[in-house]
Order: sequence, then structure tokens, then C-alpha cells
Amino acid sequence: MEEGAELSVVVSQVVQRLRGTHLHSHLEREAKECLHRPEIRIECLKEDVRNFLKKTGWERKLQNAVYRELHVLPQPSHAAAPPEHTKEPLAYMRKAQACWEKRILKSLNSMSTELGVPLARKRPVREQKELLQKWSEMGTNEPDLSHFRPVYAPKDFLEVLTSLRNPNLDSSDEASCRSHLGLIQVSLNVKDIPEMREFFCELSLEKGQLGIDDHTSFPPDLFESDHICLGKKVLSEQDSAAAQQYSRQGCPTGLRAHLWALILNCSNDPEDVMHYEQLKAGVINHDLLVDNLIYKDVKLTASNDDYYFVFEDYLYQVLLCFSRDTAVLEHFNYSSATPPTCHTKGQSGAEDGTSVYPPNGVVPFHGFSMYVAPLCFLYKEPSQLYSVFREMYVRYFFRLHSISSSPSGIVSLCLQFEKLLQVYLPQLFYHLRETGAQPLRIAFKWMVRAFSGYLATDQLLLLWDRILGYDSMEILAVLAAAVFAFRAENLMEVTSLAAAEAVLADLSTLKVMPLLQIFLFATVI
Amino acid sequence: MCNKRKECKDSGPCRLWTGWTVFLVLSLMMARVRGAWPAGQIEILGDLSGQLEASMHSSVLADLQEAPIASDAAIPAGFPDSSAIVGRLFQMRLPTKMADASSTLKVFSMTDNAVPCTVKSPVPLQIGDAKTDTSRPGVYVIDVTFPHGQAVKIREISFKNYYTAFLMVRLQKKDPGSPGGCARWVTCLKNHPLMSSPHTEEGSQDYFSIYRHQMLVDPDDVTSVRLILRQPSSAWLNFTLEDIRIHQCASDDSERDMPAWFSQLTPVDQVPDLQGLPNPQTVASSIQQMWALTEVMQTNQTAAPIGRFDSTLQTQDLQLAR
Repeated sequence: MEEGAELSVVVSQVVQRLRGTHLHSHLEREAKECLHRPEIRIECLKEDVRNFLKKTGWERKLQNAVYRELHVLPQPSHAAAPPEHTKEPLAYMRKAQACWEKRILKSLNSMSTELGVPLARKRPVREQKELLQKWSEMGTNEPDLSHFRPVYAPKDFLEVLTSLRNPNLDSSDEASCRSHLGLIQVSLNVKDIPEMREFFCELSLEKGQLGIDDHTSFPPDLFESDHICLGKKVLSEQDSAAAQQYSRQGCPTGLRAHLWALILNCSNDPEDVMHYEQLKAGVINHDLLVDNLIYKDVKLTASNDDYYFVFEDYLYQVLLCFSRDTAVLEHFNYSSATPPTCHTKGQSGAEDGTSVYPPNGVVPFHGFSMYVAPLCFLYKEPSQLYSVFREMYVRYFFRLHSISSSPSGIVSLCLQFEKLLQVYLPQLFYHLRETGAQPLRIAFKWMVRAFSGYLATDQLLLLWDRILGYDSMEILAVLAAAVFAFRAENLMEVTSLAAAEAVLADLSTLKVMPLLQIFLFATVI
Repeated sequence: MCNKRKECKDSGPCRLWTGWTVFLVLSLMMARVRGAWPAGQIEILGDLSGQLEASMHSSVLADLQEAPIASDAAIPAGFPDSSAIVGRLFQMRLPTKMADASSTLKVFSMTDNAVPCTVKSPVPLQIGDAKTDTSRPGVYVIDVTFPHGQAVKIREISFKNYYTAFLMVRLQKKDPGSPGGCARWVTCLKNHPLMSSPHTEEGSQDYFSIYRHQMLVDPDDVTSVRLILRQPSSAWLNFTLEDIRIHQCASDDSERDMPAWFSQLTPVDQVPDLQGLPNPQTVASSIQQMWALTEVMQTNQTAAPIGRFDSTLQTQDLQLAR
């Protein structure tokens, strides 16, 4: 398509999405109210209203909203391309994702029939009252969850990914330069090291970084105080794109919460609070089977973690509401996944039909609550915590547990990790492979959780700054390879998978930014 | 509509104003037709179980049987002649009596000027014996011919890629200058990359279109199209192009139905004597803006959620669909 035609398609899509939103009605109301002002003249009405909106910051809000839509808009596709092609262009990956979803569904169904727990039920009034009273301390509930087990764990997902095969790929037995020595056997386009250096140029050695140059041994005038001043200026301008660029060099702890909310365009308007309250009412009215899975997951992971156990109540408040939020269904337009559907049998005259189960289409797996836990350090208000988490999920985290060929998808991240290791540390890679400790088996669980629960929280937040700044999760693959490079000497001595896992069991002492910088810019191949 | 707009853009600003007015008038006519439509009288009866194939020996004409669809697993080595699907059959019942006697019914096909053509099976080119050599061919040639030797003015060639890395297109054009009208081959697209890297999957199963303006030579009076596919990487077992369609330019006949006063419009080179009237260019652009605004108000569809809480979980009996 010509460039002009493509641009007009994008513009019309963005307009269609923004029309009818709260921002649209606010803008209309502001424009109407400003007509009373003396500086608005009839002759040049359009220009004056536009200038007024620009001065009062509404144009900036519109810019941020458009920027947010551009992030999640799928690429303009060819007229002949069917919608499933926009979600995922490769046919064999679509098939693999469909098979995987069927398996999850079967597991959920069998759990429901075995335990005799309905998929959804209305709570009796007494139970509703109890839950409302205990809403902010749900962690004190001790339901019997011994029979529930997580639907799947990351290692089950890894087995699915390793068995992913392109039917058109020549996988004859003779070893050639293109044989895949690692677990992932698909040939996706991943960045090599020179391309990464260009992509992550703000992390290079000559630029200041929070996480390195804010160490106490450096005087703050060198980098830190200027960076904080710049951050305050970005916040006062309320510009999403500038905040995203700024966070590539790290966000100061005091400004991080506001900066992330600005980058993700999440405000704590009364409308968002109302939406959260509606979801809370939904939680109180109905009980889902998925709620038990969430309870079990939080008890198994976050409650046992030294850093996050204090936020257990917040996690319930966010995740239970997340399961009922149908706004999350929009992300399935650009995700390779499809939400599971269920048949509803009518009672007392209601019609039969199909609906999505759970209402947001996302079945939680073991470790899902760790996506929310680090955010609890930043936001105290449950409604704001909820909207930031939801936005981060529909932009980034959904790619970590679905099969797709996207450059930020988990398949590409795994392949990138293996390729980086093969190029940088071929001896280590070969040694680990020979002893049966394929590196991906250890690194996979780090990448699926975006390192949450493995790194110290301040380091994790610095890492997530860069995910937001670069709008891509390739940095997870780079960090995983950097960790292996850091512990290479110890790893060369291991003789089994268990020993390798023991060497890499504790990452809480690692400093993320020096590792990344050295791996990308200071290692000679 | 899009064809006209693109053509107007190509021929420069001098025809811009007439193009927009034509657009405006035609759309007003369409709106009138739409307005006078009695509700509920069009019935679309859905797809017939058949696909239009382009070939001399089409099975559709014989007995309307469904064309066999190749499964993903078994990739055929070459395509038989009759497997170029260029259309779908469906039935639509239309009312014979119109409320307004002056309105006319026009049905536009969704295939958008796709020309029926015969796509021959890909011919491999390789050095050495095709049957005994262990290496696979890296070049395939697909010939596309038009029935009855018609000469086509091509607007667009669209196809779905299947692991082809580079594409070269050659056209056989009828030479109007030479007395016998003999055809000659010209290259109109050289080494067009479809995959960013031949070894990796990016672009390998995408849909593409090659437009007129991308071609080195104007594709007018084309009798045959030759697509030369190259895949230098030995990683892939097969490569080809699927669903090849040739779209022709909209014919100029529709312009003959214009009312007579259109021909009395002043050409832009002669500056009209305004005599205090506003500039026709600004008038036209503001009318166009107003029309766009009314169109936008009519089709007031929004994708934003209303914000009401959907409670679909009122019933007890939920069963997950397989």
C-alpha cells in the first residue's frame, strides 16, 4: 500500500477506538465550556478552541491516548488477509496454540468435574456480606485448597514449545550450519549482537544509567541529580512518549510510580475507580472456579516470597477483579490466543448461549500472581494498582504465555537466549548440552515470569523500566544470557541438570544493569 | 471509488478537483439509493458449496462440487492446472420493484476487478537432473495467462507467500507499434524481497500486493505474466506463491455516463474569472470536509466499551466448550 493510504487507515482505526471513550466526552465538554471565555472569538473559532485545549493540557492527554492506541494497534494488514492471519501469520503456530488451549480447557473441565466445583456460581447473601467485610484482608481466609492444582506450570509450557515444528523446515539428520543445537527448533528472526547494540544504544557504556551511576560511590552531580531533574520535568509536561524515552535510562524511585502510569496512560480518574468498584461487586456476587486457582497460586508463590508476602491481600484484590474484567478481551485482537468459551444452560427462562470463561479469557497458571507482586511496591490504591497491572498485561505479559512469532513473544525470547549463548559462550553451551542440562530448561522459568521473584525487587524494577522504555521484552533474553555468562566458570564444572540449577538457584544478589551493559557492550566474542 | 482516487492522484493536481466532485456526486447518488431501499428485502442466501476455479476444465461448471482443499501437512510438489481459485459463489435475492423509479441498482463484486486467469504449475529450474539430484531447486517459474488471449491493463498482482524469498516479475506485452502486433517480454519487477532473511520465518506466510507504481514498466496490454520465485536458503522443503490474483484497472466506460454539464467545467490552466466569488478550490475542499463530517456522523460506530458491567454468570450450569 502507498504510505498515504496506510496512514489514513491507521488514523481511522485510532479515531474509531477513541471515539466514545471518556476522554472524548471530556474534550467535548471542555470545548463547550470554553466558549464562555472572552478570548474565544467567533471568526476564528476553530483555532481559538484548539489553542485553548492545547494550553490547558487536553491536547497532551489526547496525544498520550493516541500514543497508547498506536502501541496496541496491530500492523495494517493486506486486504486479503483473514483476521487470524493478523493475530498470527504462521499457520503451524496457530495450530500449536489451538492445541495448547484445548489441553488447558480439558484440564480445567476435568478439575471441575472431579472436584464437583461448578465453574461459576452465585454467592448466597450471607457469604456476600462476609466477603465484603473481609475484602481488605482476604489473606486471612483459609479455604481448603488441597485438592486444587494449578492448570499448568511453566515447564509444561516449555515442553510444548520444544515440540514446535515447522512442517516446511528441512530437518534431515545431517548436521549443518543451521542445525538448532538448543531446544527451540523454529527459525524465527531474532536480533544478533550488533543489532542489539543499536537497539539498546541507551544502555551503552558512555551513557549514564540508574542502577549503575547512582551508586553511593559516585557523586550525584555526575548523573543522578540531572536525571532526577529531567524526570520531574517530564512529569510536569505529562508527555507519554517522552516518559518512555526517559525510562530507558532508569526511573528514579520517587518518580517511578507516576512515570509508569504516564507511560501506560493509566490515570486514577473517577471513571477508573468506578470500573474497579463494579468489578469488585462482580467478585462479591459470583464465585468462579478460577478464583480458587488464584488463591492457590498466591499461597504457593507470593506468600512464600520474602519480599512479597506482605502484599498478599492486594494480590487477591487485583487478581480476582482481573478475572472478571471483560475489557481484557480486546487484547485477543492482536494476541495469537483465543479466549476459551463455555456453554451456558439457561435457568428460569434465560436463553442458552456461549460466553467466555473466565470473563477476561485468561486462565491463570502457576506463577501468574508474580506479575502483579512487584507493582505493589509502587501503588497503594487498589484501583490504580489494578489499572496499571491490566495495562502491563495487555501490552507485554500476555506474550509470555502464548505461542506466537512476535519478536517479544516467548518463542522468540527463548530462541534469542539460545543463540546469544551459542555465539558468546559456545564452550559453555556445548558442555551444558552434553551433561543434559540444556540452558533453556533453567532460564525458561525466569523469562516466563519476567524475572519476578528471582531478582531483588529494586533490580527487578530497574529491569521493568527498560521493558517499558524499549516497548519490548527482548531484554529478558539478554539478561538471561548475561546471568549465564556471569556464572560461566561455576557452570563449566557441573555434571548434571540439578547441579546447574543449584548454581543458578539464587539470583537475588545480582545487579542487573552492570550485567546487561557488560554483556552487550563490553564482551569480546 | 478507490481506483478513481488513485488514478486522479497519479495524473497530478490538474484533475484533482474534477475527481473530488465526481466522488461527491457519486456518493450522493449512492446515498439516495441506499435511502430508498425497502428494508429487509435483500436476502443473502449464503455461500454455495463451490469455489470458482479459473481453468478450461473447471469442475465447478461440471457439477458444482467443492474443490478439494490441500491439507497443511501434504504440500504438493506442483499444482495442477485447475486449482487456481479466483472467486466464490453465493446467491443473493434482490427485489425487482424499486420504490423510486429513477434509482438504479448496481451490484459491485467484492473480488474487486480480479481477472480470471490460468495459473500454471510451478516449473523448477535447476542445474542437473531434477529427478536424481538430491538438492532441491532454488528457482521456480509460474506462468499466468489470460483466457482468450485478452490483453489486460494490470492494477495489482496479489498473492499469499509461502516461503519464497525473492520475486521477479516479467510481462509479455502486446506491442501496438509493430505491424504484426507481436508480443515481447519485459521485466517489471527485479528481485523484490518478500522475506527479510531467506533463512528465517519473517514474511514467509504473509499476503502481498504488487501495484502498478512499483513496476518498472507500465503493465498495459499484458497478455501473460511470468513470476520467477527464488529461495536461496536450503532450510525450506518447498516454496511457492498461493492464491495469485491479477486485478485490472477499472475501465473508463463509467465516465461516459457523466451528465453533459461535466464537460463544461473549466480546465484548471485557464484561471476562471472569479468576480468576487470564492476560489473554487477552497469551496471544493470545504464541501469535501463537510461531506466527510456527515459521513462520520452517520456511521457513528465506536469501539470503546460502554463501561457497563456485563454479568453473564447468572446461571449455574456452565460447561466449557471443547
